Amino acid sequence: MIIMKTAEDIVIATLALATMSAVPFVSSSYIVFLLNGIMVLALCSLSFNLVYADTGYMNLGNSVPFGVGAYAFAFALSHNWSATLAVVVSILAILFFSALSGIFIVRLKGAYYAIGTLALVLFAQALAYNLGWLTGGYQGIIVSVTVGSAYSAYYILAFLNAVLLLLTAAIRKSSFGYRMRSIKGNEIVASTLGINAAVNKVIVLIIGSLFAGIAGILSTSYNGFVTSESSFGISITFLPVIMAILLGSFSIVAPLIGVTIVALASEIFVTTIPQLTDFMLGILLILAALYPKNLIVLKNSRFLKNKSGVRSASS
Amino acid sequence: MQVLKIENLSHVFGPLKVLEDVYLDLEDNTITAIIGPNGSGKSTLFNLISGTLRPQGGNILFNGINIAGFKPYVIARRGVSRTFQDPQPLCGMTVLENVKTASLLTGTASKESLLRILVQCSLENEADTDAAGLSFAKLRFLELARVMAMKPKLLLVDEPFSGLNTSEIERMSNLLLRMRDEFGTSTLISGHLVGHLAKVAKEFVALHRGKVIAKGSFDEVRNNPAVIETYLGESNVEN
Repeated sequence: MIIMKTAEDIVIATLALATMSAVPFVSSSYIVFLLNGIMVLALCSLSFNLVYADTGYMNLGNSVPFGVGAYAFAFALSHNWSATLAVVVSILAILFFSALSGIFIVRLKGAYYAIGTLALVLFAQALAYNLGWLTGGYQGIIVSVTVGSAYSAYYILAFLNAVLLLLTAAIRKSSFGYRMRSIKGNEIVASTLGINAAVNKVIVLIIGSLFAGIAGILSTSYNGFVTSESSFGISITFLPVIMAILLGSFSIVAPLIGVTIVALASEIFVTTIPQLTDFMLGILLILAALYPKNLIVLKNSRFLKNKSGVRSASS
Repeated sequence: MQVLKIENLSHVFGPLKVLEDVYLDLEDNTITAIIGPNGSGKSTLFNLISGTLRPQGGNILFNGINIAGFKPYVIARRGVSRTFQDPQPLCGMTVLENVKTASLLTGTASKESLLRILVQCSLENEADTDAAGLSFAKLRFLELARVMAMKPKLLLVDEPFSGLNTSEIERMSNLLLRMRDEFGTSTLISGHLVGHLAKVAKEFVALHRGKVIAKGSFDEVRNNPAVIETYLGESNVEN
């Protein structure tokens, strides 16, 4: 595991932390906004990877808890509930819906799981458009925010990304991690070893969804609005997935590097060929799927090498 | 005491009756061999007992409780372990991690005890290699290493000898006997090499076309006319 294993890791982590903390003081609020957007995607990407890297199940429906969090928080704020109550209600809503969808899709395997979870996104999108009293329909919900919200969201997002990274590392070493990896390794064998695959799959999905959902809450908190497109659109549904699988799952920090690459690429596409942004990102996804190993230029560098001996199918 | 009692177990795949009214008693602390030509229903029987297939009729009493239709993980937690005829490693996990995952069933096993299992199975040099990259014989022993870490009350080993050479078969046999003596494991072992099976198994059961056609000691079964006719043909038993 790359985290906190050697002095080198600790130095890198400290430097990263110091840089992250300093950014809001030395840069414009535009940069903070931009980084918030990237960190929201990073959190979604890490939460996708938490499920995918260990169980092998591709949850394409990560934007559902994201949207539930974003909408619940906006709904609560627009009804003048206190911020604390809004957060609590949003988190409860995220947990409820992720458990519910987890129980529904747990029977699906392989590609059917991916398709099933994607269907949940379309379902959520349809609900968001049609339940106007709850979601504001096509216009979505607007809440008032201050510049300060972006700064607090910045620190919370950075903190949560670090927490999720450490949690992923901790889970991998735990017996829960072993159970999940055995599901990826061979689900039938896992069941004959006394492992209840269904329960483990639902639990890890709920943990992943919780982080994606909190990313949704935070995105509402600094953006000041939520719409169906901002929750269930291409960017939240697919970008984190591309980011996570771009470099394979050879290390738990792989998604973060993927996030950096895709975010930069996406900035370049938007500024140079805006009409073709989605097209170009689609090409990137296809390339990542076709040539997972060839894209990993950094794979063999010492810094990224997996130090714990944990292997993954793509490495 | 009986650890396993099977009554009227039947199973069909479409028009094919794979098992028909199978009955079986397994005494505590014994190794029982189950023989029969390919397609006689041995693996199906194992799949039904371990829960990877749902029985369509009949009872499977394990320590007096009918486990027929229980989920595989529930059956495993009650103390029934199995190996697969085609070795099935947990891919993407090392040999040691494979065995560690299996040991989670009985709580936390120390790394030393897991390594000891690997040494017994001659897998100590492969501890940190991906299980998917093992040779066939090593995979066979990995199957056994996993169930050894589970300390089962009832063990189902599906053709553990096929593909192994004589010294490997002897090593595997010794491990099965050791599990019987150390954990009190009762074992149901299937296979074709009756000479080798006779060295570990006290009881023999012969299956043919889904029916039990003979049971008893090795000599009783090998001399049974029905067995000679259907399974051994005219040639004599290697021994």
